[in-house]
Amino acid sequence: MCIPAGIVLLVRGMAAKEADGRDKHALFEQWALPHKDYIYTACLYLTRNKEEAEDLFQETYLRAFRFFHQFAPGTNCRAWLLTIMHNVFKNRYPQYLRAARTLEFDEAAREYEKKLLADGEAGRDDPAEMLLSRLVDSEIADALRSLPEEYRSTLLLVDIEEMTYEEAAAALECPVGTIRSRLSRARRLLQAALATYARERGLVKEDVPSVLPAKAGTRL
Amino acid sequence: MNCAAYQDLVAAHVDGVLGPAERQEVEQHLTSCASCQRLFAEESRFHAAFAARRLIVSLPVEVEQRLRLALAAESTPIPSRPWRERLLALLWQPRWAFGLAATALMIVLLLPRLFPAAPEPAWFTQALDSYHAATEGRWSFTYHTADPQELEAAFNRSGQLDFVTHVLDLRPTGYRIAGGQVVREKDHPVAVVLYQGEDGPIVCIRQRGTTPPMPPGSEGVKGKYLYTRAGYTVSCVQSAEHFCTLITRLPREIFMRRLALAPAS
Repeated sequence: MCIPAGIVLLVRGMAAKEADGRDKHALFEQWALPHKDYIYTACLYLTRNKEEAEDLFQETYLRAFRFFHQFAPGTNCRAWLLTIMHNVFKNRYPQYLRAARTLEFDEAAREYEKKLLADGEAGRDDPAEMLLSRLVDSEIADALRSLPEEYRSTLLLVDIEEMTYEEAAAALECPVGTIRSRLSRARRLLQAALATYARERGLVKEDVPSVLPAKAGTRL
Repeated sequence: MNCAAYQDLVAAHVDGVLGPAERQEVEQHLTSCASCQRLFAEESRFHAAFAARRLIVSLPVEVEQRLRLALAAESTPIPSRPWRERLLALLWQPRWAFGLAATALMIVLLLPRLFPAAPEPAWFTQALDSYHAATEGRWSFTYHTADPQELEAAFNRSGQLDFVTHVLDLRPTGYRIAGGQVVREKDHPVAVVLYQGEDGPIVCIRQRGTTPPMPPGSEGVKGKYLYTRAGYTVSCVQSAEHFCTLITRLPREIFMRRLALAPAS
């Protein structure tokens, strides 16, 4: 007795789809999961809160899995994941984007920056790389988290997550020129924030204006 | 280029990602601007020191476990059910019901014509008759002992048999003898023993001669095989001058497991 050709094709199609499902898991494991620490770190710096970082991480990876067919193997998977993460972040935590820019920070940072740019005065005796060596990771993370969101995201993606300027521009949906200028300023603002931390801990003697907002956020 | 423009480009300059034209412009500006030269030097030192600090935080194990569970759950919804189930779900719809029923009826009616059932072997029909006669109480057994040795002696003493018989001891398998009888089958005597156990009866039939040829679908070797048909499991085993047929309604696997417990005869 012969089986109608339509049924054979239908069954073959279903079997192929099932095999695809298994392949998808294996490929996701191979391409996306190795970046888990980088993505988690980005989530921590963006949300400034461990619970929210964990939720953001989970949602980012689940969304990446659902849209994994859109990922082209061989391209930068970390950049792809970070772009997804940034979109989830924007939709889920609009309050961070709104609250990120604080007037106090801007004014104090501008003052510090002015000194730094004038003649390198602010960090003359204690260059920022010296500060870095004196501060522990969590203090650097706090300083980074105190930056306004647009600078924090840019510095995070390029300097910590090792994305190219072009990839960061794509993830943050802005021109590459904006990434360049934001990154230049972000690095100076980070130095200002580090100097404030160092001053608060008595690591430097200069009278550096405090650039940190009143509430620096939750520590790691 | 002025200082304000350079301050926006300093990161790209430090990172070495400026285009050739821009780099030329920047270098030209730096030769004449000590302040921007210092900025470049300081930014380069800071960037190198910052890049050397690995600020990557390891994902906590429990967060990874939660993710893996969620990912595993992603593959269980309907689209990834086994294809057999999906095919059944597809076919099992009311609009297909009449068509499926009609097709099934046609197959049922046509199959026997296309593939006529093989006739049942005569010995099987005979074994089945004995099974029913013994289990449905149509026989009043001559021998009512539960002891296999006693029954064996009684059979051999009776002078009704044309072979020396043996009686299996199935007690280790949970079967005890309910009765024994010698019946005449056509022109030869047959020793029938009924065993009763928790899962129903087993009937043992012994007669002179050799085991019938192995029917198609049977399992084993000539002289010792298992045959399943119409819900009955039958074993045929050759002894010296007679053969023994055990018949039961137990599924083949369970029957084999039970017999494995019986002592070798």
